[in-house]
Parts: sequence; C-alpha cells; structure tokens
Amino acid sequence: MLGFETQKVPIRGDFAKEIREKIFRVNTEKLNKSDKSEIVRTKKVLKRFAANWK
Amino acid sequence: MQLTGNDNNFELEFERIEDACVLLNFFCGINEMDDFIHSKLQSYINDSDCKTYVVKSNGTIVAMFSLCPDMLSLDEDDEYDMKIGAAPKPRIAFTDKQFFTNREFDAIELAYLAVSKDYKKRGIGEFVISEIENKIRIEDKSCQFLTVEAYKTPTYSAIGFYEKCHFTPSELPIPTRNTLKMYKVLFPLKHFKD
Repeated sequence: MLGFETQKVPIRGDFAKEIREKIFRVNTEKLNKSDKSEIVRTKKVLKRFAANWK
Repeated sequence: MQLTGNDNNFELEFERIEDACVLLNFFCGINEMDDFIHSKLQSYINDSDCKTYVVKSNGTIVAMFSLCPDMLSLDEDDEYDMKIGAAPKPRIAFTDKQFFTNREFDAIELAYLAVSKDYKKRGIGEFVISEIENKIRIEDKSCQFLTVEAYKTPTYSAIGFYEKCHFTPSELPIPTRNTLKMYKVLFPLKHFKD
C-alpha cells in the first residue's frame, strides 16, 4: 500500500481457520447462508453499471 | 455529472495505463493517496509487477486501481495446534482431508483503489471490486483470493468499505502500521452464470 512493502507472514490461528473453512465450503459446494448472500450481493452490484475492459 | 448507481446504461471503461501523467487532475481527497498517485505512482508502475488501471465514464477518470500477483499463506503449525487444542477447532470434521491439503493459495492483491472525490457515494468502488473479481474468475481460474491492505489512519479508514465488500481481516490490527491485511474468497464463475 502506497509503495510500502509490508512483511508477508503466514496467516495464523482463528484467521487461518476461517479461511480453511471457507475454502472447504467453496470447493465442496457446501455454501452457508452468508456465502450465498455474498454471491447475491455481488450479482446485484454488478448490475449497477455496464463495464468494458479495454 | 449524472453517473448514479443501478443504471446499466452507464458504461465504465477499464483501461490499463503505463503513464501516470493521465492522473494529473485526479484527486481522491485522501492526501496521502493523492500524494502517492502524483509523485510516486510512475516509479511504482515502472518497477513492480503490478498492473495499473483507470476507470472512465464518458472520458473522465472516476477511479484508479492497481493489481499485483500475491500469495495467501496459512501457517503450517495450525493443524498441529488445532489437534492438540492449542488453537480453536474447526467447525468441520478433521477427517475431511481437503481441509488441510493446501496451505498456499494464489491471490491477486488490490494494491490501490481510489475513487475520484467528485464521484464518491455512487457505488463505483464496490462495482469496481466486483468487476475485478469477475475478470479474475474468467482469466485466472487458479486464483481463489483477492487481497488488500486496507488503509487506516487516525482520520481515515477504508476498513469499513472493504468489510461492506465482504473482505475479512487476516490479522489483528497492528498499532504501528497504517494498513490492515484483508482478503476475499473468489467464488467460482458458475455461481454467477444466470
């Protein structure tokens, strides 16, 4: 951020657990209510404007 | 200036730039970021692996961002810590092998995202993030995460914005640092086809 390189360290503890659980849910298609609402929200946001990548 | 949310008639053009001079008249209103964009972004473009883009509406730059290759790494001690009870146990069964299979994941870092001060509060930032996700889903199927170091100072914090965009902190706040590392899992493309 703003040109500063912050140290990359492995993610630990509860943070790592949350990531593992979410990746597991995505890879096994066992999405929970929060995951599904996140997808719905993203779909809604994508309809705000049209996008054109040049 | 009619650009408002929920109007699919407005097209936003995403264009990669190599020359930061196009941002000479772009101001996001956050002094530190504006200083960076106008004085250091060019050397950053020249010297890093990041790709910098501007977002235009009818030829006017309404936002800019940079994307960099990144890696999200999980500490390998966690598995042992969880098994001996030194770390919280997961809510899913230990017998699910996939749970511990991977410790490193390809990611793309959203290095900078700045919306023009004249175009804030119109949902552009959230839209840009969703579009970036879409592009990554289509072009880089191995990438499962979008990461960001959310900027925070005593007078400004982007953390709430990124939380609204479904980013989650991957660390505890560090008082001596003005950023917080956050991540977002990219759901597969199939969930967005309808």
